[in-house]
Amino acid sequence: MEEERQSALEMELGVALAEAADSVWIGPVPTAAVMAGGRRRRARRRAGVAALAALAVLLPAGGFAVAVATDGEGIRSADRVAAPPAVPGLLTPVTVSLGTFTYPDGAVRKAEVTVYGAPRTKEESLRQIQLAEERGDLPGGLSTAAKNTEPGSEQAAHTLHIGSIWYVASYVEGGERHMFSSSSVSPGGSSSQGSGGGGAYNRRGKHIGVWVGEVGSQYGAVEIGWGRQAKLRPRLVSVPGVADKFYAAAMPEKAGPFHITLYDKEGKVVSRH
Amino acid sequence: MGEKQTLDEEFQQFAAVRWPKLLRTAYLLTGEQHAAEDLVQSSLERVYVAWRKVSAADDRDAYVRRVMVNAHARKHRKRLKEYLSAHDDTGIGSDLPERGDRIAQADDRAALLRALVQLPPRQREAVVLRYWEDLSEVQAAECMGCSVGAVKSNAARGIAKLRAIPALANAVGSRGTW
Repeated sequence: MEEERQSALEMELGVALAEAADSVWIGPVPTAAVMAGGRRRRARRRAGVAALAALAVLLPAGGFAVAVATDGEGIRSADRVAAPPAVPGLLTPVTVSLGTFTYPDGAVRKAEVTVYGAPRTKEESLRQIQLAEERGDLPGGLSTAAKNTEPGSEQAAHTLHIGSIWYVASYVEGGERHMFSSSSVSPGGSSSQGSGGGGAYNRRGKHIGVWVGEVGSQYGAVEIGWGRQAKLRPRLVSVPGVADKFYAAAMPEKAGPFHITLYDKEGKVVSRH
Repeated sequence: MGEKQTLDEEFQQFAAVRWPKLLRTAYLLTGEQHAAEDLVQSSLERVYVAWRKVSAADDRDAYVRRVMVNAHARKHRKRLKEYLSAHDDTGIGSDLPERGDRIAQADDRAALLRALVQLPPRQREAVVLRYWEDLSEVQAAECMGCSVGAVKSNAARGIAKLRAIPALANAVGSRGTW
């Protein structure tokens, strides 16, 4: 009799546990964060006690400044060395910092790109868009527009990104992230000059001045200049699994038209536009 | 494609598929959503570090479970604070909820979680592994890194305390076996 009671209780307990377990909310899998965390653990293990103490101070800030440059307009940029990012996946986007800039008015803005792996079908693309909207990477309602887009159409290149790695450019200021453009890159990298991107110039009448772009892997450096003003050579940032490299620059207020010069790996000018 | 990239992709796939089940187990162990997510994430980080070895193992799930249970046990050994959102000082529910009613079922779940998180960690682990993960006593012992006898006694003590939950006792009683 006691065994029967015990068995019934165990059975009921199993059902009750399953019901309780089902009440947990299952969100997106933070694979990129897990892998980045794993790499940090591995690095700490290898580094030993002394490095561990140093890392404990440095890693929470996302890295440490290795270079500070002034562009002549009072904008300071600090390149940061951070943990290497993971490979962007279909539903596991990777966010990479391109640089942090301090503006003359004291504002500090961090430029970022969030890179998504290439979708193969419209269905995969729609799942990505839904995820991106939930994360705040894309304006809400894009999924409806994408659903009505036929693969292969001109609009599809801007919405579905089938066969292309794509990214969202944003800046972070005061803990808030502001998305300002999105674009795609070919998985094999840009065969042409391959410099594109977008800029956040103004927001509600306030000068923002963040430019983000990407170049093909064949280039060794990018130079951005405004008229006769100082030129900048932003750091090129690699993302695993993406041939092209990303960069960001802080643009002075009222800078006017600017030009971008691309250099090959030997330092020769390849193009200027 | 390099070996490292292949391993990374394998791990990503593994994590994506296992995440829901691991999260549910962690939820039963911790009793709270964010603590559960933290536990699974830190466990998967450890698994990722050893993924080359883990990916070649016969039973990857067993390895991950062991890492997670160890992490849970370690947390308690260090006496770190565990957030028990379901904690209620008024004690385990005194009303007997009507079966089938959604609110009553939610009350049942809350009562079970409250009782579960109040169990000592080893008893909780034994109960969750045996009756949620449906592991045998031998498998649970391997996962917890203890003897089969310890699993038996921890599970029995845990169940004895859970008998105090009216909903659970009532359900078993209504079958005429309580």
